[in-house]
Amino acid sequence: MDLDDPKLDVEVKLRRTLLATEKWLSKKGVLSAGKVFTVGIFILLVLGPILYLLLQIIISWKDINATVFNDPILGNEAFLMMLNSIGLSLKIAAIVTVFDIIIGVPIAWILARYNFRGKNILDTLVDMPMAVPTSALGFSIYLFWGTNNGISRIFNSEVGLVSQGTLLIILAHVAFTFPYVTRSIRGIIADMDLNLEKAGRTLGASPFTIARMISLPLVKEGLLAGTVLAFTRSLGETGATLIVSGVYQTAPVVIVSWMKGLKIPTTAFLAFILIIISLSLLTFVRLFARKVGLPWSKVFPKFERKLSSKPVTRTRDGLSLFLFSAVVFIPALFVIVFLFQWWGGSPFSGDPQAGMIYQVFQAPDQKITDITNALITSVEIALIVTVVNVIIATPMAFFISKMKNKKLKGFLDLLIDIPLIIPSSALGFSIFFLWGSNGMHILSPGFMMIIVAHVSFTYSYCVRPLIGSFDAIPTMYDEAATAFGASKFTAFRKVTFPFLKSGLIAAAIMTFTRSMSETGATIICMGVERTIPVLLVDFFEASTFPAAAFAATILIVISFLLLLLLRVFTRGKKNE
Amino acid sequence: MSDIRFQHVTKIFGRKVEAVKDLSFVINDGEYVSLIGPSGCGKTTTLRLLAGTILPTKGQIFFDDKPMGNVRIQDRNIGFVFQHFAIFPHMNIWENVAYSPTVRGRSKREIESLVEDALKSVQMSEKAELYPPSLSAPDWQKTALARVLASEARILLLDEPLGALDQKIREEFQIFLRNLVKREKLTAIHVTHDQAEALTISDRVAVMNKGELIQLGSPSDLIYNPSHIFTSFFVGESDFLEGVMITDEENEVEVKIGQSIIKTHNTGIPKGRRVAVAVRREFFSLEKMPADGKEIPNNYISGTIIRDQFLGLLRRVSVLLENQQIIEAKIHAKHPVHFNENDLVKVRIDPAVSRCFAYPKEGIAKALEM
Repeated sequence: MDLDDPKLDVEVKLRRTLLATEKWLSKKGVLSAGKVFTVGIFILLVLGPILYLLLQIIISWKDINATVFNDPILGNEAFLMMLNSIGLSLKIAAIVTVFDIIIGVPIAWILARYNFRGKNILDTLVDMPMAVPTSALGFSIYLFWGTNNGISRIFNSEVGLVSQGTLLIILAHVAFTFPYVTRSIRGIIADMDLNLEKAGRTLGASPFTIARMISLPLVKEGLLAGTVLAFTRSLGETGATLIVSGVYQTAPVVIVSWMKGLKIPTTAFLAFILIIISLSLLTFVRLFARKVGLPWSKVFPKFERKLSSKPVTRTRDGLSLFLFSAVVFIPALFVIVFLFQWWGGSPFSGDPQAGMIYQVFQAPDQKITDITNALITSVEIALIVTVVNVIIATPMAFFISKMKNKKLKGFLDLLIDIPLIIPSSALGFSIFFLWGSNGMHILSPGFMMIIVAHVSFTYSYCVRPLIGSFDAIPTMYDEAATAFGASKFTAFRKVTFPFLKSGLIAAAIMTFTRSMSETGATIICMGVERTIPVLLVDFFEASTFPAAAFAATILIVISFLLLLLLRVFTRGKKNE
Repeated sequence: MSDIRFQHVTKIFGRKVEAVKDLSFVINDGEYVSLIGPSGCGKTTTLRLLAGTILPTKGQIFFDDKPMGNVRIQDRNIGFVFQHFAIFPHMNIWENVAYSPTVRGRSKREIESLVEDALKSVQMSEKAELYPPSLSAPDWQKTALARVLASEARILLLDEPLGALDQKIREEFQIFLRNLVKREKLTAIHVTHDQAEALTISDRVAVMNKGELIQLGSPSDLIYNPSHIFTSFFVGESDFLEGVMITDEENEVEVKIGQSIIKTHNTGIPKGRRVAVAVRREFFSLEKMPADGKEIPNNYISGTIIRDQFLGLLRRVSVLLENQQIIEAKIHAKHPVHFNENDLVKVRIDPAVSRCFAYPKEGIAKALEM
């Protein structure tokens, strides 16, 4: 190609340069270097901190031994506290998971199989707790159950119905973890071959028997994956738990409070244990999900026929929708009601100084400035994190999707999920540990460290849907483009990328939303700046509830808008 | 005993779409009946009505004189074989076959004997422990059949059961399927779009169009004795020669087509009436016109060759008849004569295999609309 020909106009010249660059980029060596770079970034940003933490636990075992097990003053007090908190966390997560299944499975069934007015609304509402920051959610749930503003008004009670503690933690966790169960099986139920169920009917089985023996085993893997996700989310949640736990400390809350007291070795050890638990769960499920058999091949035809009767199924559907409204929907959005109750003053005493307007806009500490600053910080961080993640996740998703070595692909796929299931406070701590003064000493807590932490835990949210998008693109277009003489890179830009657009936007919104709403890792990695979910926790701790409600409402509105946007793009994808 | 009776069965979808119109017929115990017809003719609806996945809007279906109106799918005791088999992927073959007796609460020993008999019947005993994903389509097909046998259904409903198989295997399976049904003394209703399959496998074939039953008859009746103009059009390929009835007799009649007199069969059409004589394309015989031949004998029509096209085992010869109609005769590829364009020929129409129908008032195209 002769670039110096004066007759060629600028457009042609530019195009030729671009094509030449893409051709160079498509060279085997360059492509392999790109692959190595992609995987390298993943290891550095996502796996690095965790590996470093594990390594340090082994290297500085003496220190840890001294502080955790044989402290000169406290003895093994720290270890006992750890065990207590982990025990509590596991117990809560187990109970929460049971409720998640009870609410999540019927709702998934209703969404996948029934057609009714308002189905779209229900669908959005189900997804909402995943998008709304857990601290806002936890606060709202606390207001509803735990104060005299919410449910206790019905009973004319002076105090809340449920005090801070285990039960309230469970209520809060169910609200934001059940969508993981619903989501993980909804698509599978919708895609299931209906003839399998019809075949079951013609062979004499009642609908309940079919659901149990045919449909359930087919969604088993999805259900198990969703359940593990829900379990680990409950195990690792910080934001909401800080608000609803009171004196009961779950493991992630302990990490945050020890971190605040700069008890580095003990925090490291606790983070290590949490990571190990989550990793073992993930590995177990990935390895054995297929092999877990469902017991109960015995059938009780008469009894199961009764369970299939209309009154029973109606009651079941009604009950799960009722539970959804009572446990999730109403408590999660109650904060908005609260905001209006406390708009200009206390609804009890009428004192205007207790109202939202005074606290946020008129009080001398000018909370509105804090809120605005926190909001700006949050958006800045989320934007940067989204851009970075889209750039590093797209090649990774492409790489994994096109990978031919099945074992390696499975392994990478497993690694991708790690940030998804590790408690974000533990992940945040390991990032602090690696990048901060205890490790490489490149970053100190603050804006940059928050970004690194967010990139790390949102990575999965970005890569996972992109792998799906790449898998869905038929290879024939790519092959056709190459056959017509396009280099691999040009083919990607011209053919693959346009298919990817909506998937990419969906991944970006998801990343943005997660970054906006995270609490645990942010608290650990932050300096003086506050993101808005953290500010909400601060307001809560300072007992300025109306101001906290104001911040929470802003967060809920933002996440709701993001969710609507996400639905627009993911629906567009379905229509293609 | 498992006979099936449809009594004025109508199924309307939504408000207006009449999928099936006033169906009345009887299928005898142990009979193998196929349903054929163009897409949307109501054959699948008929099958679904039998299965009970949908209920009739009007009319009633009887199994052995028992009305099926309120009998639910799981209680009809029918066996359904799906086009893609619907084998439960998470159960092995044995468990698949054992499904029906298990969910019906049979004892362990009963289940075992039913499953073993069923598997033996389809020659799948050795693969009992395998899982469906590791098997191929013919094995899924056999499993689907064994599953139905083990359910002790007396009525077998098959929805395009061989549609997912390769052509060669399909032909083997037609015989396998028919033998199995006969050996187990089942009543089978088989929906297919493959006419050859229906004609090979069935005792009787039902031709449907636009929700109506056009003809229910033996395979040879459909070919040699179509009772309706649509049957001769839809089953195989026919040409319709337009003419006028010139005799007033029953059965053996004469029709004038162009200048020629053709002997054929009718079903009571009065003299002078406009008629269409249906002739299967394979049943035309072509002869070159002798150089001196001016006289055209009865049962022959003269014409001019348009083209002679090789189709593999057959040749398609297009002829412009002297009455300006074009026919597409199908002759054996090894037919000794090769025809060239503009050759003069005489076309023989065999009275034994041609049928005469009253010319449809709405026009022939409208009458044959699918």
